[in-house]
Amino acid sequence: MKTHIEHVSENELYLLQDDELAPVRATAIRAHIESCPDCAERSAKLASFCRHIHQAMLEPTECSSDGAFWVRLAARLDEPVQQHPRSAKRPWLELIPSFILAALGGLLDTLVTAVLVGYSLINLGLLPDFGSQLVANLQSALPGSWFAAWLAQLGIADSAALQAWLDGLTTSRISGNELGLGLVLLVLSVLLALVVGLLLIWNVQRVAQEQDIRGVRAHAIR
Amino acid sequence: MPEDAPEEAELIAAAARGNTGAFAELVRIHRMRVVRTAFGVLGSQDEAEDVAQDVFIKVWHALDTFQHDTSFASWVYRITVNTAIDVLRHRKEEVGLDVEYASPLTRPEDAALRRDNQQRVRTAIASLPESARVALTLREFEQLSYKEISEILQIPIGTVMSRLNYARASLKKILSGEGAEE
Repeated sequence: MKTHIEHVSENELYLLQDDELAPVRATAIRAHIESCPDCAERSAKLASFCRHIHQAMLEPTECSSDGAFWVRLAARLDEPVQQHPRSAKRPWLELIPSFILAALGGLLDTLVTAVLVGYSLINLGLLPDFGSQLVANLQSALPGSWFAAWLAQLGIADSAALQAWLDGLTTSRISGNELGLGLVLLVLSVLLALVVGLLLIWNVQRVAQEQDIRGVRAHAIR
Repeated sequence: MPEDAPEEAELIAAAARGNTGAFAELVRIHRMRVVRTAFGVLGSQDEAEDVAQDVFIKVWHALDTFQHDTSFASWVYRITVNTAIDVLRHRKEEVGLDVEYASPLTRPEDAALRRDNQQRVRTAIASLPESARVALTLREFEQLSYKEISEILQIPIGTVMSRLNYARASLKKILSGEGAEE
């Protein structure tokens, strides 16, 4: 535990104010505040601000009495619980469980990562070109299909020509053995996949939270 | 959130069997925290009372499904927060802040000043996003710990902290005249 403190961050001042710091850390910060006029002033301002907010949130005075509240409530106990209309914003959310959304998001992110990283590794020559082999196999397995016809239009009549065409595409993107460019592409791919993954996690968390809000209601009104 | 007292556990069990007397006692114990929380989220006394009624109707109908390994107060808080958020989301039009506050001050001019100040803060709080407003209400109104808030809202403690930090930083900006954060 750090005992010497330069200046206390606002976050820690709030934690101290809210009595949420570990005792050792709280003692260290209090000692620092006593000896640091700058932090003492900030702490006092923050305490004053919190007091200000708290005072503004005082209780309303015109609550009904316990008796009146109960009389009104007792008359309604046999009423069926009213459901609020579904959120007009994203009603489909309630139909899809959050774990399925999370699984779909994870699958999508895995696919994005696999494609991008795989493409980079192939360009770096670290993986055999499975994509080209797969396309070649498809081309030979589906003679006379639209796929083969499309390839023929491109002037690719057989697997060898296809391989040469794909090699040409690859080398036109990364000419020769440009290791640096390949590595940059690989790093960018991983970063992009991470960003996509984090966005998905964030969104799924929000969805789960919205469902949770509705779940509690549904649970409470069963 | 502390465990429910044995007497309260008995009240819950009796109310779940349909004993309205026991339920009336539970309502008496928890009513003000429900009203306060709803009031903190909605800023309207009338709506807070209506929400409290709806909350206890839901509690009454769901008592037999209440999990005794969780705190009854936390459960009631959760239903309150969710019901208040529903009302917030389905408000057809913005309601006025029809609030009268308790005040220890006796001089009329002091009382007026205090009311103005409270109104300013309440208006600022009303402009916060609902998630920040709920966290602030549970902390500043109900004086709950971060752990209790995280249990009620079912979010990590770190998220509670970030929502509170956001709420306080936004309030500071609004109240110092810099405008709300987008």
